[in-house]
Amino acid sequence: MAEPLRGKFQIILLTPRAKLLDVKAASVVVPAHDGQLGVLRNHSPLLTELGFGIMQVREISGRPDAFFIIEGGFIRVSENHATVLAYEVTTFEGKDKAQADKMLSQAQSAVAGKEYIRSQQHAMDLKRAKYIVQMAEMIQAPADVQQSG
Amino acid sequence: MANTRQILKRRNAAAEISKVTGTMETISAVRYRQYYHQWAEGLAFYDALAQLAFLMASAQTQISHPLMEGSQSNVNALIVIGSDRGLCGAYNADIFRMLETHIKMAQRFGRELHIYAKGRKVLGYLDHLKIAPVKVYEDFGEVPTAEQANAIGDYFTNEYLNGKIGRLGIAYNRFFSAASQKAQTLTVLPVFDLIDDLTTRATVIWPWELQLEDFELSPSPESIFETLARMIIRTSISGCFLEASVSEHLARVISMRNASENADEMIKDLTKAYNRARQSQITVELLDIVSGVNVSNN
Repeated sequence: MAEPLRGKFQIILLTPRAKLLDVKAASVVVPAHDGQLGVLRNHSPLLTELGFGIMQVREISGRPDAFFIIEGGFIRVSENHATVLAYEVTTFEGKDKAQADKMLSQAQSAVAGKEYIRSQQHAMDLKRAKYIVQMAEMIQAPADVQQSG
Repeated sequence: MANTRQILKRRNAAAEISKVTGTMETISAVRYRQYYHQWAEGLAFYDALAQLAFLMASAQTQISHPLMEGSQSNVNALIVIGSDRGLCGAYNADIFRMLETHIKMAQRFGRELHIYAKGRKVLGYLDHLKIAPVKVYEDFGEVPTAEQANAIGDYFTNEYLNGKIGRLGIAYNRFFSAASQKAQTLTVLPVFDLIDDLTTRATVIWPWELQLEDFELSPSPESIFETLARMIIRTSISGCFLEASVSEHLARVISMRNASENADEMIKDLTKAYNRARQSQITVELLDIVSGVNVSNN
């Protein structure tokens, strides 16, 4: 088991439609424009453009880890506040089991290339579908497996 | 005294009107609540954007980017957001007054004015002024989807970068709070003016002790600025449409509520008048009968 991280800091995820997350957590990994970027407590001030990928929020006070697929935006880190501004966010958060399963199976068939046969209209963006499958795996896997793998 | 039947007719007409205005009020109230919720949810995002923008605009090291500089173009672009339907008080009239000011200003300063219109009422007014709009937004009802707003934003940003337009303004009814809405023009391009407006409108004033130089930036400030500028432009455009809709429905709720109240008052008055007329009719008839009986007895 990995040693639990000590200090927590505020993590906020904002979209034009809603405030999706406002929690205290130990670490956040965001998809920066040039690769993954991890932020812990007491990080120096940072302003970075985001790319397309999965944002992972670990060891949140009083709730399980949270994952979001981000499609571009910004992260601003200052004074132990990490604010993520994103336009398009896909997530299982706030969805019930049936909705999440439907999203996942749709993504899986898109990744498997079956979606073309079913219908072009509902075809999911392939990249997003891959990330959805990956995100579902992350939620199931315990954190320490994730970190070593 | 008026005929009882006439009074009844008028009372029924008033009741009809009250029913219609009541329904309109209910519909707009529901829409207003939806849009208001959407607006309130987005506020935190706008504030955070404004803070970033302020940070970039107040940087010590000058960020040079075409979007930051003025344009040589002689064209003013103006998006005018009105409503499709009337019965919303002075909502459209305020926008029209704003539009007229823009036309006069453009004439005075010898600039060309290109109008992009939203809402049938605006089209009607432009027709009255004999001005043809460059484009009419008809592909969305009241508020554009994220993609549509992005398309509008990108269109104007590219026009600006290509030197086709010098300024972009949006004339709309801004929603300050449920108690206050006001027609105003938001200057979107050049971006500097927009940042000015955004930073003054942010509801939370950030106790900002850090400067842009304190931040680790990735990629370069210029590149971040471009993405940020495009993001602000898009967000402001969709935000303006949203605020305009919030204001429109609120204006309609208020004017329809007044109309219903007036109609109800009228119904009350007419009912009183009707009762009085009926009573006097009965009295007259009774007098007739009594005097008739008296005559026959004598």
